[in-house]
Amino acid sequence: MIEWSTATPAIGSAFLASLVEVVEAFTIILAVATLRGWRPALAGTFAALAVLGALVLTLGPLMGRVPLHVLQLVIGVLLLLFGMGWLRKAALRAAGLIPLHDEVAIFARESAALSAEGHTAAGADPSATGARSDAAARSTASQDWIAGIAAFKAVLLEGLEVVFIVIAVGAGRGLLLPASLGALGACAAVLAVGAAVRKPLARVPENTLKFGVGVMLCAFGVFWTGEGIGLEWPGGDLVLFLLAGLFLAAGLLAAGLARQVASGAPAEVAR
Amino acid sequence: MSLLRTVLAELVGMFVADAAMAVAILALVAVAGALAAMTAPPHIAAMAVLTAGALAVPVVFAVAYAQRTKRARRLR
Repeated sequence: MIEWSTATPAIGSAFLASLVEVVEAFTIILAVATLRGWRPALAGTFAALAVLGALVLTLGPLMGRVPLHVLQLVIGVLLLLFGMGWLRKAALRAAGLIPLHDEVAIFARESAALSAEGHTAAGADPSATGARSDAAARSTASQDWIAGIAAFKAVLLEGLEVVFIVIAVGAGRGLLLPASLGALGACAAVLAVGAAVRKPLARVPENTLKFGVGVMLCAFGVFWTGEGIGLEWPGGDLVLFLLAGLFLAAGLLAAGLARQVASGAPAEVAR
Repeated sequence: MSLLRTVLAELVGMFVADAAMAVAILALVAVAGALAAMTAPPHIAAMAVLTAGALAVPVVFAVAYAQRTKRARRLR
């Protein structure tokens, strides 16, 4: 029986976090598809999804063997490390100290990088006429390979974060399936909108989403860590909502104080 | 190999965005765990330390980043 007080934040967090990650991966896939066509883009994407699927199938059964308290503690600490990173960065972005994520700029940068690598791959221009068509075919294959690898890398790296979030918010209470559905819902939403507009999804309020997800991940992190070290939270799972409210206040305070401290400081590149 | 290196770097970066902040979080969990082990249920002190500490961490490290940015701006 699903406890909705835990399932709702778990599904919501998995959906929103996946939305952010899938939007980032989609930008790279779109750049690859625009420059080299959908074949290398989809090949790289599906290869990465296969690796991620294998990872989940390998890790999933292993987690069932770990004692629940140990699993909660490990996942709780990892969630704190991961979620606080997101919350701190989102607060600094909200304070104007590091620039906002710009999908259009990333699309342009990725396209330029792929073009440059494509020109390098095509650079070996043979002088012999007979070898020219062979060399052209090799050059096209090489450019497609580079483009496919770019899509593979983007999906794998963003997908790793999605897999971690799904496992982290779902494993502690047997909510892997609802959390996975949340993540799949985000993939479907981004793909549907992306297929319709066929350009980077720059209007997704990424920092607001990251702020919200950071808040939820920190709340889950404190909750699981507490359960892992043997704490019994008053109100049980419902304390998640209180923790989320407190982390939201802390994140807003962090953004406000950071803005105040560095008032007038120009934005610099995010690390 | 380069792809593997990138993946590993990304994995580490996922959890250690700021090394000092990661150390602070681990220290906080260690203190809360020790308090929980030393006290009887309902472990109010451990709960308070874990919650208050976790709420303070993003605020402290965001402000520290802002101060570093301000100092760097002055030096330019």
